[in-house]
This record gives sequence, structure tokens and C-alpha cells, in this order.
Amino acid sequence: MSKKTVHDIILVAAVLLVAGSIYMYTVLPGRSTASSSVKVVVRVDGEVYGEYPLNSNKVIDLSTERGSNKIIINDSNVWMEDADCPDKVCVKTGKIKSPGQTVVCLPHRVVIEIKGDNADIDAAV
Amino acid sequence: MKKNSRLVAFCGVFTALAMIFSYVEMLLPISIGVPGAKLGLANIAILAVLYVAGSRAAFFADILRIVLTSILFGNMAAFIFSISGGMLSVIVMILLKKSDRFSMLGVSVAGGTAHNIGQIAAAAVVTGTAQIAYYLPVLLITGIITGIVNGCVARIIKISLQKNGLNDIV
Repeated sequence: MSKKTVHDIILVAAVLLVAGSIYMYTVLPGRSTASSSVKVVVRVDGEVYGEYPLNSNKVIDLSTERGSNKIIINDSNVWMEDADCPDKVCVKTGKIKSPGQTVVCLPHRVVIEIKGDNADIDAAV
Repeated sequence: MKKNSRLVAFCGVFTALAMIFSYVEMLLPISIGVPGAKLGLANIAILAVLYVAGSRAAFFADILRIVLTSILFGNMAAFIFSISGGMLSVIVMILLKKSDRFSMLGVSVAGGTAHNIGQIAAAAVVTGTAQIAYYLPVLLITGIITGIVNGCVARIIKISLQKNGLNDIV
């Protein structure tokens, strides 16, 4: 193996390591919480638009100057039912239910985030 | 003088190629529900420019590609994400190539992952939600895979260009 190939492999391994650590940090801690204090936070352009309990049933029709999004909270799942954005990535993301997970509609700058009751600890960093 | 005009023509053709790749990618309905995940085909052309015509040419070809694709094919909403991903990607590739420690594949992988990191960073700033980093692991892994594939294709293009005597334009 040439020296460059070795460096290539080290590079790929380093990226995988970073991906793994971010995964452990962001995704895994959210798995356990399923209490009533889990909230759904909807943000538009970085500003909080609304907070709703995850175990409620709600249909949120969101319309801004950028476009409209329809968010549904049902059976402790949240998803983007419909959006008039060009790429529809947010709709294709599907249902989320664990703290830390997000649905993002970048063209409309809308972010739906599930926040667990350990949110205060996260903020202390 | 003749050499100079060949360089200009080469960069023009490959910038156009990069734009077509971006356009084709918009038409392909590939989506895994993760914002920013894509094939990055345009990077094939940018890599070819980097290895045949040098750093400066690659840098400007990439800026031109992003600005022109955004204007021509609409999606100005995504411009800020494309430009931050594209700039980080091309700068990382230029630096790694200059270091002369990585093969074309390694440079391509670094470019692909850097593109995704730049995009997610811009998205986190615009939406004010650091939690978007949630998508980074998936994006890094897709960046590695597409980086390897694109690097292979770019290497074939580079070898073929050299066979046809196009490597002496700089």
C-alpha cells in the first residue's frame, strides 16, 4: 500500500470516528425519555413559534412569508404532513418521537425539535 | 498565449459540466429525508479542474458553478447553504492536495464531507438550532461514500485528459 492510501484510510477512519461520537452525543441520550414533560418546539427563523406537549394531539398550520407547513402531533409522534417547499425533505423525513430528533424545512427555515426534560443539562454546556 | 487560452477554454467547459451535474442532480428524485444529502456530482468536475488546472482555477470554477446554478435553476433559498458548503469543500480540497499526503480519492472524500459540514453549519446558524447537528453523522457517512465514487470518476477523467495531452495547460 502506498503512503497516500494509508493517509486516505486514516482520513476516512477519522471522519467515521467523528460521525460516531456525534451520534452517541446527540441521538443515544434521547432514547430513554418518554415522560409527559417531553415537548415539541417549533422554531421559525430561529425564533420559538410555539411549544406543545408531545403527548397531545394537534394540527399546526404554519404560514409565513416563505410558505406554509402543516405539522401534526399525534400518538407521541410528530411529523410534517405537508409543505409547499420545493424539495419536500421535511415531509420525507417522516415521523420523529425521541428527544433530540428534528424535522427541518430549510427553504422555509422551520425547525421542529423534540426536547426532553433533560434540556436544562444540555443548556449548561 | 496559446497555453493561456487553452486553460480558459478548459475551465469554461468544466464549469459548464459542473453546472449540468448540479442541474441533473436537482432532477433526480433521490432523497433519504435528510437535508443536504446528495450525490455531489458537480464535485467530479471541480476535482478534475483542481488536478488539471490548479487551485485558483478550481476555486473560481466552484464559485461560478454555485452562483450560476442558483441564478439559472432558481433555488435562491438554498444559495446560502450551497455557497457555505461549496466554499468549505473547495478550500479543504485545495489544502489537502497541496499537502501532497492524500490521493485523489482522499481529497474527494474530504471535499464531500466538508461540503456537508459547511451546509449543516450554515443551517444551524440560519435556523438558530444547534440540534441540526443531529443529521451530521448520516451526512458524514454519505459524504464518504459519494466522495469515494466521485473521486474514482474524477481520476478516470484526469487520466483520460492526460492521455489526450491536456495536462500541460498550466
